[in-house]
Amino acid sequence: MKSRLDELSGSEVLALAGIRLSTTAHLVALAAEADPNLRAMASRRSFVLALSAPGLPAARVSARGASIRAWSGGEAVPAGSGRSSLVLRFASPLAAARILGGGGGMPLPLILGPGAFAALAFFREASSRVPAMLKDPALDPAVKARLLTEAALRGLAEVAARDPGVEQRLHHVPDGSAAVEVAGAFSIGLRKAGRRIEVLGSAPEAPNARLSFRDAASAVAVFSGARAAVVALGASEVTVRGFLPLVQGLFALLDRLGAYLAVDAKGGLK
Amino acid sequence: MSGEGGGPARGMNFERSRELFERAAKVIPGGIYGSKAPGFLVPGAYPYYIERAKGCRMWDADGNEFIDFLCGYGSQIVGYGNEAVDRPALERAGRGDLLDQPAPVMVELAERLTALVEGAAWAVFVKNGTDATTLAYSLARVRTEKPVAILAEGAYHGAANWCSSNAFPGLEDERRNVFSFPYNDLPALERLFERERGRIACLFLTPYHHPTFAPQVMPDPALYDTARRLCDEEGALLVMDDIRANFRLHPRGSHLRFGARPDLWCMGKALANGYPISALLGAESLRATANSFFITGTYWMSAVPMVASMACLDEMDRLGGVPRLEEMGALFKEGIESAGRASGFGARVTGPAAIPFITFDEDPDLYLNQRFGAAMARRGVFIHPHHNGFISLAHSEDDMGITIERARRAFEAMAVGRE
Repeated sequence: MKSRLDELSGSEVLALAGIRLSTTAHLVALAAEADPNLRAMASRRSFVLALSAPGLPAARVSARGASIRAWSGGEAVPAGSGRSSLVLRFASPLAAARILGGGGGMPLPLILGPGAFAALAFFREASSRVPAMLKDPALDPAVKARLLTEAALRGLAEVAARDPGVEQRLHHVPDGSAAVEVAGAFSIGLRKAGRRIEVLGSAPEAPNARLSFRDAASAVAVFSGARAAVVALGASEVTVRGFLPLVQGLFALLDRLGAYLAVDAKGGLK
Repeated sequence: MSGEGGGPARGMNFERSRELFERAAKVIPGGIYGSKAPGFLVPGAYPYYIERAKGCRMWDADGNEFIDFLCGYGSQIVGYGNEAVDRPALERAGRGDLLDQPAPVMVELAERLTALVEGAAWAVFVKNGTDATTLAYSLARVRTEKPVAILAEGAYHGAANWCSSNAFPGLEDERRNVFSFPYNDLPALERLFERERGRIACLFLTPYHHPTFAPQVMPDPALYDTARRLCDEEGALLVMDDIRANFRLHPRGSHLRFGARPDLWCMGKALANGYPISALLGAESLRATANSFFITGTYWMSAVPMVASMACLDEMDRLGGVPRLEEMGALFKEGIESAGRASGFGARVTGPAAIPFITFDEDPDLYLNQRFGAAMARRGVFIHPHHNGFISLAHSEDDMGITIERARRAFEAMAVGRE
């Protein structure tokens, strides 16, 4: 993987843009659940915010009273979720990768209905708040672990769906479902079928494999890249049970996600 | 810990293993890489470092003792520290191992193996199984002037990029000409040969199918005749990858167990009881190609493993060879399955008697493998939860009795949810 945005191939740029759209949408929604100020902003007025770039399914954030939810990667949005109030339109996948990666620039806001300005204000605040939360040493480790786990799984889904470099590796990863459990904090899940990875809001009842973290700090260490997963496994901070190839195969995709996220969004571009 | 029939004499402590692993993680990728990585076992329930071994027993870095059913991933066939093998090997080391030219023993070993392995006319010595399979593939491509290798899905033929699951971006091109078929699916194999007609250099088969994370499968009675016919029609070579199974199925090559007629044989592991040597053996018809090939490796002609191999072949015979391995394997299979049934578990031991793999009919995801493996490790028996095991000629009836009794207790504890 190249390290500068201007060095990536077209399909790699598309994959990186997909990762950025998806993780941004889901993290701002999760951040609003954890942060009282963001929650208050989102609950003042209902809105549906869409992040859109050519060649990619739009990512959506919906705020309706106390409920803040996100969808991405072509996930079916439930009927009755309402039309978009605001679309933040990125001119190209490259622009989305650059702007959402902190490389500067602005998307084009398309105001489509009531709640557009509330959506814009919320997004501005939340998208700058998320990185601050992740850097905040005082943040509850359970919240940080939840944000990082969501980012990892959403990024994983995009890598699987769009990264041309993982197609053969994915072929070696069996289909099935896995639970991701962080002791004392939360459990969610994922389901892999071919190149599609679906992130599940709760752990499946009978997963083919379980990835369990001893505590939130262990999940933060692994998903932030501070601790290699294989090392955390050896130290029993993480356990994998059940059908190992499912989880271990996805570790390789996580490495690929890490490489995407390390791409310099400013590099080489004016 | 050893001696009694039930649980361990004291609790397991893996403190030193964990300390070593923490240190290793700072200077070695993954701490321990590859198939010996902790994640391939049940981390926390197994040792990561082994200090010493003798016979079928081994002691880890913390001093815990285990009856071993992995046998150095099959390399140990006459037992760890077998003096009949080690004495001449150490004596050879005293006279020099890696020399400017090969030692005479190389000729003796090649003569012995070509006389032993029916159909083989020449032998090349290498280090690891991957060396042998990769050389076989190269030789097949040169001989046939065609690029394609056909493998069974899930079969392991080594860690080289052409045959491993290291399908990372940048490496995929090395697998561009490698295609697979579901094991024992003869129509699928025929279709693959038809699809790639005119491009196939070789078909790799292990004597029977030993995929990781799944029950082992014996070959369809028609597999080898079909494989031979397809290879002959295509002008491709049939390669028998006997590295994992050699000398545990048949004393003269596992192909004889199933009536296979390969052109090339890859052998290793039990060939020298753990000394580093593997071999590629070939039919007379391939001698000219092999003669023309530049084959070399700095350590490939070292003498000590060759001496060990000669001694190992003798020792296997002296200790009873395949019949004895099968006798012990049958005890293992019957004992484990019956202990499982007694506690309500559908434990099933698949594969040849000397290369058993335990799975549970009710649990294809292997949660029970992990619970059982961990429960046995706690009781001083090393059974890999995800990889087939191996019986050695150092395993005795007493060892089997102790193992089965510990399995019975492990299953009982699992049945009441204690483990």
